[in-house]
Amino acid sequence: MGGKTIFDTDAHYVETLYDIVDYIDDDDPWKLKFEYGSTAKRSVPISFWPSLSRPDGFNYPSIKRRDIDFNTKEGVVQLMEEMSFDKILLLSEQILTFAMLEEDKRQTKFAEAYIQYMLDKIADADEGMYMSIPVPYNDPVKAAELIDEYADEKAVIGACVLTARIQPPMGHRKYDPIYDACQRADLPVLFHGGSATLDNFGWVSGFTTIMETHALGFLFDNMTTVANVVAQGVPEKFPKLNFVFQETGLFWIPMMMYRMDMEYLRMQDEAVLLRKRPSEYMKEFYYGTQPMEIVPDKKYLQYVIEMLGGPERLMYASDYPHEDFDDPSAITGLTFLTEEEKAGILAKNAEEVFGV
Amino acid sequence: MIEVCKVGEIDHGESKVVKVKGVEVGIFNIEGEFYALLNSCQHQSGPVCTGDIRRRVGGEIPPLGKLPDEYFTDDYVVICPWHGWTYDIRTGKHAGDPGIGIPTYKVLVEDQTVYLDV
Repeated sequence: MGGKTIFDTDAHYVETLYDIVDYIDDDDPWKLKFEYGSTAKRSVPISFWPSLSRPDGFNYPSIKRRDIDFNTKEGVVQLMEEMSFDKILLLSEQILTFAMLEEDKRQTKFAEAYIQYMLDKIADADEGMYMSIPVPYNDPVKAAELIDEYADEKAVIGACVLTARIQPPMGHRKYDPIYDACQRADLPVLFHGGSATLDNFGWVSGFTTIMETHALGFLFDNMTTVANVVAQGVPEKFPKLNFVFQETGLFWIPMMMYRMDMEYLRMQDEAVLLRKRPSEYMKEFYYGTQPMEIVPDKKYLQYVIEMLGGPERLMYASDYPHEDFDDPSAITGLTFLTEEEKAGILAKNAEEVFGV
Repeated sequence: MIEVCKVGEIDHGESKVVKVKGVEVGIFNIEGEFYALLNSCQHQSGPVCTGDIRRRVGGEIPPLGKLPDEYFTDDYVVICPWHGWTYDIRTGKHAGDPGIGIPTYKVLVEDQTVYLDV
């Protein structure tokens, strides 16, 4: 890629419950449940663990392509070689189902086992393979304990919150321990949308095509998150914390900036912790570039990037292996960017934020 | 200096809109001190100086897991009756963004008479 370093900040490692079950203690009763869940296949109607619309995690069955087996370390290596990735930040695949889990211990048990599995088998800072902690937001205290315990691991460079339909949203004070732990550990928070498929959209019922839910789900998730996080003053409460919004594209950002400003300027006494306009906070956040919107004229993207604070707010993200993944050419093909700006989006911005 | 009103016409926490050289100006009495703002909101030119006057709401960073305490500060604001844009009466600056401001005018009080320097 023209000699530029490429850091993919959002690829989905496709782990299964079978992979992680060995990392639950034998004397933990939850091990039995995860063992059942890992072997019960998706055709079993009474499932321990919810599934996405298709069992392999792919939603739209018309796409046929040769996929790398993204369930092994060899698969990660192969992807990095084929895509010329120098560094990669792996996100849990099963985290996409978190919105479908009630407030039992599945999130915490999964997260704890997943972290150990990834550290043992997959993540490898020396090879540029990094991971995020899947934040079990149902139990903020336990989530903070996990962040405290694993944030010092060299391969752990973020804490990922799957923002699908979280209630209350992530600006609520109940999540303060999560942000506090991340700030203490200098660990960026990743807000990743996820209400994408027909069966797990959940915001509104009645859609009949994935085209609709996939266009809307990530937006609903991260628009809700940014509105709540900003209005509740989370960036003021945790001023050293970096926030990265992922898998929501770019055009929603200026729209929310200016809508939030409009509301703030007439109701700022509701948001007593804010010291400036919402858009000013949003210009301090970071944004994954995927999925890059398809526009009839590239100048529209240029304006959007300018409005959201410039190319230094952006991080290249592939979303591999999902079928709406972006190749690095989504960035290199933006002719209005300088080579330095492209290098920033492809790697340098993320290297700085994640400290790698 | 142009005479605009007598001191006794405007009590603390109240305002009066006067027309000076064709321009509407709001005269405010805040704790015995008089201030003057252009009666035109920076948003959509609403009659801002005819809005409610009260103390600005403030808040401090709360302990973990708590909502912030809200309180009235010592700053007085006027709230545009059209959409709620809120300005500090002493400075004319928007309460949420000091980059936005209404023009202010110098006020002089002599012999129980309020004068405007325009």
